[in-house]
Amino acid sequence: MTLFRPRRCAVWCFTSIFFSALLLAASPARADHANLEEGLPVEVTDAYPLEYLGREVQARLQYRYTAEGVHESYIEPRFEFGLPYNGQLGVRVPMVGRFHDGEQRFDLGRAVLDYMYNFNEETLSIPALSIVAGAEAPDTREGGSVDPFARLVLSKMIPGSTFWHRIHLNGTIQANVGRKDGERSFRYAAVIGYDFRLSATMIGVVDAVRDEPMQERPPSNFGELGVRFQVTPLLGLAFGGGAGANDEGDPVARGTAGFQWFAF
Amino acid sequence: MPASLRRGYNSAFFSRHSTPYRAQAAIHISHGVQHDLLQLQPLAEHERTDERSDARYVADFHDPPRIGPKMMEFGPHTGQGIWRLYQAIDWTHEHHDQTYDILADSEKPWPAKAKLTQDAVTWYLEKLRGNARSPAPLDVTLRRAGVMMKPYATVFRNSYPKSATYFFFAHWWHPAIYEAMMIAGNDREQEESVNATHGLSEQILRDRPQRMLLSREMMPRYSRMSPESANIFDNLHMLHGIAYDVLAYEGWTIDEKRAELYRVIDAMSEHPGDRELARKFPEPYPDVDPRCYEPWMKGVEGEMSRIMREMLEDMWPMMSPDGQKMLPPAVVEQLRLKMTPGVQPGELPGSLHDALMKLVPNMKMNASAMKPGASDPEMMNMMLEGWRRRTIGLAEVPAIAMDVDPKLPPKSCAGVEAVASPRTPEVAP
Repeated sequence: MTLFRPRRCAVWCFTSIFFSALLLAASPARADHANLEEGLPVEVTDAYPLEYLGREVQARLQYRYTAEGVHESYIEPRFEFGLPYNGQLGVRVPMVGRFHDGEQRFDLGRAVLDYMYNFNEETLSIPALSIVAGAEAPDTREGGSVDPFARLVLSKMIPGSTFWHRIHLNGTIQANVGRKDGERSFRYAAVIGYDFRLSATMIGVVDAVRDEPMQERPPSNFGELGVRFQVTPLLGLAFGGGAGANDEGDPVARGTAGFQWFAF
Repeated sequence: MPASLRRGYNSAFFSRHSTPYRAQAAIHISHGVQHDLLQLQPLAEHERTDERSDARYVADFHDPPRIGPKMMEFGPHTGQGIWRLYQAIDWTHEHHDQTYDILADSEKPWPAKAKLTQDAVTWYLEKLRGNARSPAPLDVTLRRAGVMMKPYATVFRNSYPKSATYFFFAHWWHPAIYEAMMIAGNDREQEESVNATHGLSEQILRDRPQRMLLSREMMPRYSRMSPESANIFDNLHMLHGIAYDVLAYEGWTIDEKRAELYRVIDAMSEHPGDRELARKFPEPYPDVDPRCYEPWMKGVEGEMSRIMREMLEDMWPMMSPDGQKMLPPAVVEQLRLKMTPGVQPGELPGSLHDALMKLVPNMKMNASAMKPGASDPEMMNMMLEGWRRRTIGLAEVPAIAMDVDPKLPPKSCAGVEAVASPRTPEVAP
């Protein structure tokens, strides 16, 4: 691994300050804390896209402890745009810092471009259904290929109750276009989640994840817990974390802080 | 749903008038809650449900959330069954937010407010056609909706009078706050005027309006500036009342309720020519001071009851057994009783239709038009023709001069003076 580089640290620090400033400067149409976003703060997402012509700047700061014993931290700016009705275009670019055996390394992670389309509004008996299609770009650490993925997202409010609570199912499959030795041809991830209203401006969300890496290593299984809340009509914050282990019992953990700003 | 129109004024109301903003959020929670209570709680328990829900609404008004909700968050069951209802409501609540923001943003020159509001109206009407509320006066849209003789009409106000009057209070509050800004202008007088008006809330919660106050009554100046926006809010507030009647009625399944409400939503959305009608309404109190709770604001009699009575008059030649054109006094009286929240001495049980059928057993009704999702085009046309006839001599409401930031006049109450609220609204720094 490459040793610590001051220049990259400067980029890292600048980015942190930039997003902190953005967070503080965000002036209050409507961020929507009840519209789940992947990784903010937990993996599960719901089947509802951003409002038509809505524009959201998002970011997450995440710490991960991997099954290989590596400490990783992510700063991931994101942008989402609602187009057309019931659709959502998203782009995110993670910046990853890895810390292992006293060494540090900073990379541009696998950027993602994806598009979600929602096919229906849920009814009392039929869940909302969305399809997400996208691709991940190579990162600056291992390179790799542009790998397409597809995701099925189902969301269903629990009927018969005045209490707002929902169940979500996410299933993702991703191709490994430039497969190398020791890698799978396809990987998958499956998530089941539940979110519920804690107050007028806050929801809780829990999920259980099974995530298979592209490398031929055992899948990870972990649970997460988080909260999402609105601070102003335009700004939402999210905090959460989770832990688990891979199929061989090696522990994994993560903690996330993020924001969504209904922008310009 | 579309995003709201992004302009520099977004969230100005939130920033400048925090306490009223939060009060509005509490009102919108109550609207959401009421749907599921009516759909999920049996009508037989209406007294207990009404007592509890009203207590909750008042408590929420006193301890409001920081940010306004969407309907689904507090009425999730109904939203799954009748989702266009929530789209219509949430989208119009966005229009409330947007138009409050325009008036609250002190950096937007006062002469620019009418144009900014017109742009917001256009965005509202264009981006969610079908679910946006019509800019035509309620006199027109309510005739198109044709709900008066449906089996659910007035069930909510008669069986849940506390909750119904809470929403009458809420529909005083909304236009009163607009008007408070209209008489104050952009400068710091706006805080004074808005806080004084919001400060009436405690008094009015104790002595509530007994009818839905219309924009033309409570915010005549705003109605002159943007009659389209003012009518949109009347049409939303009427949709709330119709939805609560339909949900409270136990004779239909939720599928039938959905069919009926979607019919009403369509009837009260924008139709060709609606914008040209926007200024066709009377102004009964053109100089109202929103900082005063006047006696005329409290009673059953007002613009709403006038519209209902005129609609019944328009329909009566088709309904009366002997073809009489004049409404019998007993029918007028039953209408008045049915329009009054709760059950009054002498009031016949059931919906307005049920009461009139007991009073006039041979009344001619189109049975198929009573069914969910059905309407009687002949009756609607007759009512619309009646409205055209009545408004032939009615001049259009003139535009208000917006060239100069108004100076807040001294409070001028014709009736009862406002008492100081025990909960003093905060004043923006």
